[in-house]
Amino acid sequence: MSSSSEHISPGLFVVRPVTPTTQAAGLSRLDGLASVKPLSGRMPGWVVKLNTSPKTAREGWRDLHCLLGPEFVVLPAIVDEAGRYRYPTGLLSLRFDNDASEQKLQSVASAYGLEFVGRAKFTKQQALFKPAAGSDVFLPDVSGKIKDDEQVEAVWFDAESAFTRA
Amino acid sequence: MNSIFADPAEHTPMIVETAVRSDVGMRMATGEWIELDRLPLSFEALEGETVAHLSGTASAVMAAGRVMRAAQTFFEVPSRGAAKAPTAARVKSAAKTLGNVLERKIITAYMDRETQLMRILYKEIVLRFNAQASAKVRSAILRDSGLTLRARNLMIPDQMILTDTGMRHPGEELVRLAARLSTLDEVAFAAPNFVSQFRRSAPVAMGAPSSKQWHLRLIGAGKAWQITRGKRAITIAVLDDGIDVEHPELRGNILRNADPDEPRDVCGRDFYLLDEDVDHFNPRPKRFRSPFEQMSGNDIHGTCCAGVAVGRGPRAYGLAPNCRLLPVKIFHANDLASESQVADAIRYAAAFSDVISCSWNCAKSPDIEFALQDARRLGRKGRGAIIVCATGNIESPHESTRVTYPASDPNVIAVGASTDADALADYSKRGPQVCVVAPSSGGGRNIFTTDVSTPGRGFNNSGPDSQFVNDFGGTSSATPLVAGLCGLMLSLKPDMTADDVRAALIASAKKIGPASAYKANGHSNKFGYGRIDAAKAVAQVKSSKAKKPKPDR
Repeated sequence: MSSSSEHISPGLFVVRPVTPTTQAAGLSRLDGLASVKPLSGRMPGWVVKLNTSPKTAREGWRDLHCLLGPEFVVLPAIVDEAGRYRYPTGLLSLRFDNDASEQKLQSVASAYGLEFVGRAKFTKQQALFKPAAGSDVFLPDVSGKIKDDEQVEAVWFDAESAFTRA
Repeated sequence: MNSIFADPAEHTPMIVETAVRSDVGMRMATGEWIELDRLPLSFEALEGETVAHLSGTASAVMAAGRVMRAAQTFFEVPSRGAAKAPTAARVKSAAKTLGNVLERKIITAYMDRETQLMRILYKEIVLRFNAQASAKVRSAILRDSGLTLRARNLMIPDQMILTDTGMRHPGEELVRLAARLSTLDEVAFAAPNFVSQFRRSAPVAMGAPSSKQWHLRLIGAGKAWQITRGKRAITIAVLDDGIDVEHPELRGNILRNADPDEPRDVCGRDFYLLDEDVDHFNPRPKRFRSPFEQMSGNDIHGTCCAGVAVGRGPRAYGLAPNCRLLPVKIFHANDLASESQVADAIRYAAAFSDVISCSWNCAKSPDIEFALQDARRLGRKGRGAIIVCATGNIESPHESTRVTYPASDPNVIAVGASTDADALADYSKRGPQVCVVAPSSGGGRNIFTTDVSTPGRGFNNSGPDSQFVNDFGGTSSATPLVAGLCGLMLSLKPDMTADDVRAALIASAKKIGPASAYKANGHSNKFGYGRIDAAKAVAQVKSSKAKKPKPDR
């Protein structure tokens, strides 16, 4: 699927609050270090561009993670082959070859330090997961490991993106 | 108590949406066989109250309510108390409060597969003999049937109502008996005397497109409409920023209660909002901000697209004015939208419609790719949902001219735009994925279609004509026009696969523009296989051989 033709942005990040009560004021820690703009989707979040260009997405993620602390989830933005941005929600979407059993979903979750969030509404082949509470992971690392798992057909970042009326 | 009810032990419920080929139906006087799906309903007469409940899934809760009301009227099911919604908890609670169940009944009810109208079985058959049938033969047929003559039709002496007073043919047996009688040479027709549901609906769309709707004239809609204006059984889903379901030229076509398992699904859904949100089941435009006539910031696009596909007229006809519309809202104005929610919307549309119209583009998303793949593979009971997508508009000189996503996906039909002069619209994106083009803006005239009818909202939001807009366009408008044509073709041949529909569009397309634009295989990166020709497409489909129905239907 398209995940092979897209790439992770090294300099653009999405920051989302861990809980709905997280105060946006925490973002003031980025004053002078990054530009911050609110995302316009249903989920709260901000798009952050560091003033210094990190060499890799991992480096930028680490810097932002240290600055913002555990109240925020930091995720690299994704760029598709046409240069359009996708803004991860912090969830991973997994698709299985066949309808996935509860047992299979739980076993995948525990194997990769994930928490099962829910099945897709209209297909039993897909489900959403998030990193287990308190885990401190660079989400592309987790998806990279899952990609090699034979029982998973595909894995990708759940994301919000712009839909342009034609 | 009326004695038409069968013994519950004989009741073998069939769930409506399993859509297996039904051996139960009735033959019309024309010989047409109408398939009927059984509704699994039973009634419990408590002390002074009737409680309907379903013996299958909760798939027909709304239908149960209608059957119950009809039953109370026609079949003397006790109804002193108010009609109660059929929930298990209510049955239990009512039984506890009011005492024992006095009587348990089964009503044999069916859903007409095509019209989705309900028919409740009564103990009678209407039979008409052929005029040539002798009196002796008539008597023998009546005697063998075990039915008694209740009344002759005053206007047609050969037609009569027969009644099963002895309950020799309980429940579905009566339907089968009617079907058997209808096959006799001496019988013109025989059908159960159903108590039927009648839907008050807007009259069938008639009339011809005005000169304002030049795009319909250009593609030969008038000729196509001599063959079909679409059937109610075919539904076109428009996935966009919301649809004005109260618009006078759309509301008669809205598909009601698309998902029978979800009573809240009355007129479509809003997938921008999660299903726990009260407004999830409201697909109307919701986001407006000044200036209200500008698309940016306003949910005013989907209503225009819907009109191009299925507007009922008489002002703004869609190409398929008698097909149904499933409104699916997937984004709010310019806000970012969740890809997984949009993927859900595509699968929902594939489950409950035949054609999916997408006049938008987005970043390439695995979630949406899989949803398109699933819709194409599983939609229409394996025949494949027909997904039409706009190739996109070139908005600035620096922008890529390549076909955007999801029009570039192999599972969809990519639609570009041509003009009123049959030239390529300058803004229409190009590439090998373009399948066909359809007339839109970009020439001397734009598209006249429905607009948001709320006063002060919409592209055209003031004056007496503000329910319509005369300057819609882009590949956004070309796309639902092709969706409408797909709807017309499926109305004639519902068994066509998605591949068949694509092939028919290609085979009937008119080559426009310079001949040099087309390669040897007939394809052009600008025009695809040409501009759609509704008259030719519909005529070709009509004259094509009917496919044998698949066994799963």
